[in-house]
Amino acid sequence: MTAVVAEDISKCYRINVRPSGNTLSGRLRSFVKRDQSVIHEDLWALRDVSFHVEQGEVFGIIGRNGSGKSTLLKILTGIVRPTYGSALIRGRVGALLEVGTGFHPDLTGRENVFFNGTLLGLHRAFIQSKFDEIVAFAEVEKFIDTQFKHYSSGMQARLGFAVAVNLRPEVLILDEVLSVGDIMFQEKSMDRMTELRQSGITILFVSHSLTSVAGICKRAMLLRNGRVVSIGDVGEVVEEYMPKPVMRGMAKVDYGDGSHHAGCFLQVTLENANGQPAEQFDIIEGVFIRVRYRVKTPLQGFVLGLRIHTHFEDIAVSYMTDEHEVVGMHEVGIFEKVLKLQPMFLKEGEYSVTLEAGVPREAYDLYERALKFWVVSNSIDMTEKSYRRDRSGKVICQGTWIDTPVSGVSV
Amino acid sequence: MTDAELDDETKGRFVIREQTGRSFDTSVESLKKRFVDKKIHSIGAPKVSDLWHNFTLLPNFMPLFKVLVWRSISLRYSQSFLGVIWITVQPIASTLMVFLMFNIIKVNTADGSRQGIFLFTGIMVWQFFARGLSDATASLLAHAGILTKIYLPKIMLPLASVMAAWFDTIIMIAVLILACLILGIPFSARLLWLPVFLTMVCLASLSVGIGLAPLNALYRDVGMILPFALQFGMFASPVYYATRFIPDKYQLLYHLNPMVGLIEGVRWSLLPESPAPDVHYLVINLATILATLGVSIFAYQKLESIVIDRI
Repeated sequence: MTAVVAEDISKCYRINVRPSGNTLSGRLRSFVKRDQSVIHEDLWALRDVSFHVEQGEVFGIIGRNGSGKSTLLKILTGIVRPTYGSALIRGRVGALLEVGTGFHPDLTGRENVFFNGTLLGLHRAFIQSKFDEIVAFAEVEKFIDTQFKHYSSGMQARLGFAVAVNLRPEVLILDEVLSVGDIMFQEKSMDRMTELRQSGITILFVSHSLTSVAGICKRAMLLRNGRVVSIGDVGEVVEEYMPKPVMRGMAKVDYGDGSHHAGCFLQVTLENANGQPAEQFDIIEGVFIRVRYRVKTPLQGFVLGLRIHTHFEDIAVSYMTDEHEVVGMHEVGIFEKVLKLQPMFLKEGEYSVTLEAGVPREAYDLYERALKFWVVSNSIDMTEKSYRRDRSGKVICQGTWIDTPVSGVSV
Repeated sequence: MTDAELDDETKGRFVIREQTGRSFDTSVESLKKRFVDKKIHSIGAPKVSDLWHNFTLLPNFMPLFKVLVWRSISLRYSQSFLGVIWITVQPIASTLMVFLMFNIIKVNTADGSRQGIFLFTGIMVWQFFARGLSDATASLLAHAGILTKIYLPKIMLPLASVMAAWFDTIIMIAVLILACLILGIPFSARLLWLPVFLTMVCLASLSVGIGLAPLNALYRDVGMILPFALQFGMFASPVYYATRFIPDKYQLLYHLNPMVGLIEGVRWSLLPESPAPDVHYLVINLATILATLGVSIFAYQKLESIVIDRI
């Protein structure tokens, strides 16, 4: 049975560029003068958004800021009217939009709980029976008789969530609310949401946290600029949403005769298993970094380091000295070493390599992001893999699952 | 989304897509009526029937309505020393001032009743109307914050303002009755008409307030024009003087002002010497009020959704 169905929901906002828009006299004046110079622009926050959600489903809605998600939710909860289009919702709708939505600031927490319950069409007796549960979940016992406007944003979010979740609406709409609470609260909320999902409530879940969305939802919808770009299985939709890597790598960097330092890089190359320079590696391939360097004078404790990072953070670093503990005198000359990154180590994505060289108290060469490469998964079907790009985890954790017999338990 | 993805039940509920720009016809509503399932509610572009829908939802929002009314009332006196009595201070003070002035310049503007009580009744009724109207007009803008956060029938806001004005008026009626008892003014069965006239005053302020509220929220100058208009209205009504002072040739024009008949009516019901208001004019007044109410409601319904977008 379908719980929510929307067809061609669209919302147009008129942006006034006119100078007289705010006063009645101004409007009348421009009307009388038939002023053609007054301009207004139409901004379509949503355009022909259509989707349906089955009862008991958890449906994710993702998209960048400004893609129309919040507008869509406001329309579904009735706060804003669509310009055209319609939707049908079966059952009571509980919504948690921005922090404090659905709560009147001047009513106390207690009054607000009853107020929300009445909005949902519930009887006072029922709300009363759930009241203690709600307050306990939100951990606001001491403040339940204070006006809502005095609550901190965390308390507001907690009470809002507690009400939305405990009053058992048939359709629950959640927008980004979980990001306000602290870790304990987020865990509690996630647990409760999974519990709810099993009880048959339909949930529309909007979040920027792709891990949450992928974790709870089975189907999702991607909005971009107010239009539906993709609907369907959550994995596919999330893939669609991820920014596509810029496929320009840097497989080789040449420093000619090197810098003036006593120990310097000459040439560094990314190679695949066949020894050829490569910018793209498959997940199951090893990544080889060939480093050619020169030492001009005997150096005590000379070390090379290669740092692998993604766009935002460092993933791994490897020093030459990881191979052996004793760092002695390094001879003069031109040398070459190859760092091998094992297969099934790096997840799909873009990476860069920073080159470092130096002695214990002094850094010699430092070339940030000198090399760039990316990892793809052409040979493996990633659907069920833990190291799929959108799943948590920075690198691939190669564990082995072994079946062991269960002892001492009779079936 | 193809039809195959919808179950048969829901397929039947759907409207065929219309061209961009044309508002959806109300087929969603009519489809809904054919199915018994009352739990479905529909969302769509604004249409005329929404106002009725809003009214039917009002009982659900009673707690909030009570809070809104109470807030309007308590704002005025909760901080003050005298409390509830403060509500009456301003009209009594106005009465005294004008009474003193008329005494000094030796003019009697009353219609046969005692000057003081005459003035007080006029001021009280006008206060009811003007206060209710200004508060109702300001109501949507004043609650801009919650309008974007809660789903509520917004018509409730001007209604709450007028209800708060009722509260003030009832207090003043109590004071008035007390004054009448002290002064030895007798009451008669005409007093039964008082609630009727007061209700009409309430309707009058609603009839303008409901239409002005969204306008005020959209255009800032409405709130500035209103005090002037009310000032003018006050002098064009028998607040400080009896209608007999208006020259005959202007009587018809004068009586087109609904407040004329209503103020006269309130005085007639309370004070024995006051003349009865002319029934013919009263009927016209009632018709004017109802017509204005209709126009206001229509304007309100059109503007409500725009207000949400712009507020």
